[in-house]
Amino acid sequence: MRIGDPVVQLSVERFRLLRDMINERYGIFFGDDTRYLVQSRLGERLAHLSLPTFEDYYYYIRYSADGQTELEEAIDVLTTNETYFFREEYQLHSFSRQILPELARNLRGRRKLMIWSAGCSSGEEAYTIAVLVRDSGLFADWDVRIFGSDVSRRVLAKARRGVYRASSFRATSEAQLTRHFTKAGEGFAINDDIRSLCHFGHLNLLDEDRIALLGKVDVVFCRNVLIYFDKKSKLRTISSLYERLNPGGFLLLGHTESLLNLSTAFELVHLSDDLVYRKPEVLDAQ
Amino acid sequence: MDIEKRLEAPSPEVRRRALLDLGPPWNTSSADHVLHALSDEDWRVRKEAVGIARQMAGDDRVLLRLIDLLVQEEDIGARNAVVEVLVGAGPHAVEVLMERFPSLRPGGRKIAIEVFGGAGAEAALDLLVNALHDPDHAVRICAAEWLGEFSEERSILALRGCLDSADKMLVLAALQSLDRQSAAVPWYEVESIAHQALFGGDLLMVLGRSGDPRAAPVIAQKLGDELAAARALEILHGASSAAAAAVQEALGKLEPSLLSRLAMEAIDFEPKDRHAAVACVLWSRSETQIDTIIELAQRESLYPLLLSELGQWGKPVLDVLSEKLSTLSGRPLASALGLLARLWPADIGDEERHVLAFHLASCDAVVATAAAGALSRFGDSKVVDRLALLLRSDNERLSKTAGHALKDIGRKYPKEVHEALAAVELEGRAGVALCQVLEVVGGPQDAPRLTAALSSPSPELRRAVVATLPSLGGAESISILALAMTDEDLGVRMAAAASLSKLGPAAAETLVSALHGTTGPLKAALVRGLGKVGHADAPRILKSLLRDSTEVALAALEAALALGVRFEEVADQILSHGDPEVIKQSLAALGDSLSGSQLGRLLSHANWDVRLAAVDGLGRLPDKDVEKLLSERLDLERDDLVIAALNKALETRRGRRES
Repeated sequence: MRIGDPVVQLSVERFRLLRDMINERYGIFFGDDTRYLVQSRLGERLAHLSLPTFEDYYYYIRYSADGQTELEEAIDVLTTNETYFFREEYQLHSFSRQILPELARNLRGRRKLMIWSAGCSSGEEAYTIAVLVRDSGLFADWDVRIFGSDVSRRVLAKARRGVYRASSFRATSEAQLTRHFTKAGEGFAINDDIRSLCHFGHLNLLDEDRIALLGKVDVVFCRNVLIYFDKKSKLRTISSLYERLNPGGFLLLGHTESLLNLSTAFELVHLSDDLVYRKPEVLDAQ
Repeated sequence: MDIEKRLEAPSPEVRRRALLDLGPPWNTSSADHVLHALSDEDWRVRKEAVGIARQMAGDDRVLLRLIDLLVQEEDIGARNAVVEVLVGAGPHAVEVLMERFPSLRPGGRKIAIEVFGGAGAEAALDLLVNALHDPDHAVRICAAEWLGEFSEERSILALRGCLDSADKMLVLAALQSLDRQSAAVPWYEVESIAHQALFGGDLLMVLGRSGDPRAAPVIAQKLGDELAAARALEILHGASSAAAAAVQEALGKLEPSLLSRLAMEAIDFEPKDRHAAVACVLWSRSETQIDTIIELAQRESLYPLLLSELGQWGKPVLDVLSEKLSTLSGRPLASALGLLARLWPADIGDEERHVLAFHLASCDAVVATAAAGALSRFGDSKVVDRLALLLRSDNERLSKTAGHALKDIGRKYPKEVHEALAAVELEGRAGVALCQVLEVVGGPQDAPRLTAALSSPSPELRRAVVATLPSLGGAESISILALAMTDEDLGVRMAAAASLSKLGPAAAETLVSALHGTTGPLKAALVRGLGKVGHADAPRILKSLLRDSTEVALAALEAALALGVRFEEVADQILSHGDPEVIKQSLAALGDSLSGSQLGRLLSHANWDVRLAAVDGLGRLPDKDVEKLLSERLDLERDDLVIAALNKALETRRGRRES
């Protein structure tokens, strides 16, 4: 679309059709107040596909052979993927100082650590976790896997490239930057020893069956993801995350998120700087 | 507007449509119009008229008028249209034309012969043979040309009889026809004309087919002038060992430069001519041709021929090629190395190995690639470090070839190769090549290294890693492959599905989980994988997929049968699939296991090809009720092909019963 082109209007009815379809497939929920945002972002897709109206766009997704691919494109442009390394530092501090040592003690028998960054966007969170695990020095010679998943293939490609510009390093110390990154053009590339710990994959958090491919994990980072979901989708996702966690495994949510009114299956753990959730070691008989 | 006016209309399309409106049924005036339209200026009108005239030719009056037109018509387009009508008008037209033949004028006889030949009318064969002695020259030539279309002995004998004719044009036409028939003519029948340049390539081919060693020098002399000479020699060479020896001798006597020139020119020839020309060079068994042979060896397509023939030269050619190595460089050197690598016996000595190792260090990538290729066969632990270094080459071909060589050497020296690979990084092209070598020499200790490489941004490397994992053993492979099933690259997921299929029952749960939300070829691959590894719940899962998309349904059928699911359990579902192709392929897969009632239901399928396949299946069943099913369908069927199949099936069954 070019400047000056007439804007295709997204009526309330069509907005709801599109919104409900996205919600049904991905759990992401757009409130009524986001209609103009959706209109402006999906307007680019209409222009790209030469479709005259949002109704045509809806039916294109619903019934054309490329519908699923287009829906993924829509998710790509609709979800804000802005993130950065070492985001919510106080929580990461607790993770490094308390959770990792506890896991190192508890898992020393199997010497395998699996952490899932659910909704990893362009990979900053997954690499941050890898840096923290590496810097802890507790897991040398362990089988460590940090798995980042997202519904957007575009951001996954960026995560795999592992090259970032300055805005991704707003909370990164000089020492960390020097130790774990190498200058690459106008940005910095993650070093191979960190990259080699991270895997990325395309997963929809509502797709419980495919999520089972991950096997069991010890920690789930699901930060600032559930805020986009409606309650029903949150419940399904929380249930999936619970299912994937090993007993004693941790769930870390964003600082504005909680499981209040969503799940009582987790126990709340008070750490020095944060509150996190944990799957109980032994389930209550009830 | 009435038809007559429309037939004279300026628009060809109006005239064409008017012809269609003439009938059937047709009357005398219809025939006038149609016959007139055969000489219409517009080809579309003539084409329409030909079609109609063919149908009308069943009427003798029309037929005779067509024959009259045949001999009177001076307009070539119209005459050809009449020929076309008569060629397609069936045996009766031929019969009538044969009766009229003696009374026709020479021009008419010639055209009549074209009709007999075009129609492939065997009934007219004697007439054609007799026409070789027609008083008219053009008729004789025409008969000789058309006899080439009849492969009967009579025809060939008659053509052979023309070879001693004083009429050179007749001899040429006969030679052409004999060549078309690939007829063998004894040497004594062609000896007298063997040296006549006028007859060109057709004569040479006939000489070649004589199989007589005496033909060899005659044909060989023509190698510089006639393209067909090489092919004629090739035919002669294959006739007998005596003929082969004669060909070899004749070629050996030729000027060496003539053969090399022929071979180099042959590179641009059609495959058959190229093969023959190169074969002539090789049959000369002349060391003077070694440079040419090295040059030819740069074409991979010629390798089979070069190797099979050079192999018969024996040790001398190996010595000549080995001596040549020190005088060559670049591509010719690479070609010579490539030839030697294939011609050397398996037990070569240290000297030959040293030669290969020496060239492996060449800074010319083409030469190093050829040496690496040769070391696939002859390499030992001494060259693995160098090959590991070449694995990292920027030259893709060299890197790949080094990988293949390491893989082959790794089968004999796994430990040494594995050690040499330790320094190679799992990245980029070298990483891909390294993965392939690790398939042979790797073990569980390599799993962490490979797993780390799965974070690479290169899908090619991730695919290679995923393909390598099953050969390493170790239970961890499955969990890594499960993660790879979420990869955003379809190729990686396909490779992961294939790898999981190799890991036995332990991979079954992962395959089942991966099926969810998957479509198309990936889903089909997973389904086939499930059929390979087995799973307690697999039969149920596979049965539920029998109505899926075409490729998935067929994969599910294949997997279910592989797991021993009884066909009765799957037949009804798969045979009611919406895609007729699935049904047809299922019928082929289920073969004779289907019952009469299952096949009988398909007799009323909407698609004729499904009904046809069902008739075919029913026709083979021994059940008594089948005949009734087929007969009932015959009353309802409207498709010609299915009707024919039904009749055939019923006829066969009745015949079987009577016998």
